[in-house]
Amino acid sequence: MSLTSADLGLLAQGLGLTAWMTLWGTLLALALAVPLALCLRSNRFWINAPARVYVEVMRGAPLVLLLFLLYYGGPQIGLRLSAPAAGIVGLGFFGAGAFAEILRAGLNAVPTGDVEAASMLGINRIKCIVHIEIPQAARTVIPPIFGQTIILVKESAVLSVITIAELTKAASGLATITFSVQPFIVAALLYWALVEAIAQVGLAVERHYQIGGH
Amino acid sequence: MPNIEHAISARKVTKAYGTKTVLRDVDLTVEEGEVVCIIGPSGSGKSTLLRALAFLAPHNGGDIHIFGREIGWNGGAERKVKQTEKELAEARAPLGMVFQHFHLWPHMKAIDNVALALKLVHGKSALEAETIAFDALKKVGLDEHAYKHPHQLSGGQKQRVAIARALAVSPKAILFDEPTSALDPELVGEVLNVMRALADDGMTMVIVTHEMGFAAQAANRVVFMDHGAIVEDGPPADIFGNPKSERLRQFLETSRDRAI
Ligand SMILES: Nc1ncnc2c1ncn2[C@@H]1O[C@H](COP(=O)(O)OP(=O)(O)OP(=O)(O)O)[C@@H](O)[C@H]1O
Ligand SMILES: [Mg+2]
Repeated sequence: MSLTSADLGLLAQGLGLTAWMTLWGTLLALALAVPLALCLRSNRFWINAPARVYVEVMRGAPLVLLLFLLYYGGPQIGLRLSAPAAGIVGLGFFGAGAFAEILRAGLNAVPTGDVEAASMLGINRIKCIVHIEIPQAARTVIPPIFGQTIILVKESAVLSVITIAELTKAASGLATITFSVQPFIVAALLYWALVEAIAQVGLAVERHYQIGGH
Repeated sequence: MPNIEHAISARKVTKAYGTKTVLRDVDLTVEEGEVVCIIGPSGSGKSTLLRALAFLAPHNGGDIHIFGREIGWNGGAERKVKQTEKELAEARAPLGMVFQHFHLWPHMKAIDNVALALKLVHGKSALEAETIAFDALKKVGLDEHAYKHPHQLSGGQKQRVAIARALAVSPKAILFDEPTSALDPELVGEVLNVMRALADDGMTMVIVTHEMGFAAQAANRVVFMDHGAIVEDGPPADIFGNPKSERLRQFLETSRDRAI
């Protein structure tokens, strides 16, 4: 038995939800990662230690646990999130740790002399970070940022545990009805297409910012 | 004690990295308009001294004054009262620095490298900053390359942009750390010519260099360092023509051999 167009429509909706949730989750993760990376680089213990703990916890914990905590545990402390909101926040918190490590490495790769040159010209720390360190780091972090985004796309499959009808959930729903593995195969193809699209955007952005070696 | 009359004055400056002493009781005075070249074997502490003068390598002992104002510490290094970021920036303001590896910011065009501090620090409008930056680039002969990125320039051109960047904010003295050592031999001349022109203009300059010919010809004074200390300090004719210490004699001999 093959899939009807209504079935394909369900899978397409699932794909849309997966893309939508990952997009906002990634943006939230990046927004959190910038201050987190700056804290990681601080040489004050009480600034870098909490950031380090956060990154380690997010590296160690499965996303699914974080989602359970947010969606089912949240209400117990008065935090009532809709399933999509919990999904985006979960992906954001989870991705922020990984993105922060990428940004930290990118900032560390800016040559010390570039920063010293700024400091000799009277450019203060904050202006140096904004005008010299971040723009330079941005170029080196583009490939790993897109790589991590692709990981988040695939991780987003576990959003099904908090009732979100993203692609994996849609496919398994259809599979139980149709007694067939076809929905899974189509879902795999759709994931591949989404991941490939993100990789292509990544390459285009990378090319755009490529201004030769130095 | 302010030293209003000196451009740079370092007194009893010591510096250690961990347990390794790199500068030992260095005394160095540079007068306004003077060109001082620092020579010496590899590892003798030339770069460290130059970086200490700008407080890029904080000294552990002694004190350093730039045009009469103490830099880095308040009341000498021993008291360990570090200046605030703002105090340090003010003490540094008269100094420009040119590095061996240029350290242009690769994501900005040459003119933006030169204009950035004018906009961010000196409150110039984008247009004013660009005008001043363009003049500075013209001064080093690079007006035609103003709108290129650093990776589109040769090493010699990059170093001249770096000099223009230092010049644009009107420093009273410029420190150079081996400005031609990273260059292909055929590009050394264009950078030395720019530096010679600056010296003729009366710019106060401290230059760490292995270019003995340049030092002999352009310097008012040559300082010879070895093992973290200043061993000889005098006019180039004396340093090169009549070395007093055995160490300097040997150093000059080996560098002459290397030049041949
Ligand atoms: N950041 C650092 N940490 C530890 N040791 C250092 C550091 N910078 C320099 N040194 C040591 O200090 C000594 C002096 O170094 P410095 O770079 O000042 O020498 P130099 O005279 O400039 O040599 P060169 O001609 O090779 O540039 C060397 O032994 C070097 O290994
Ligand atoms: Mg050196």
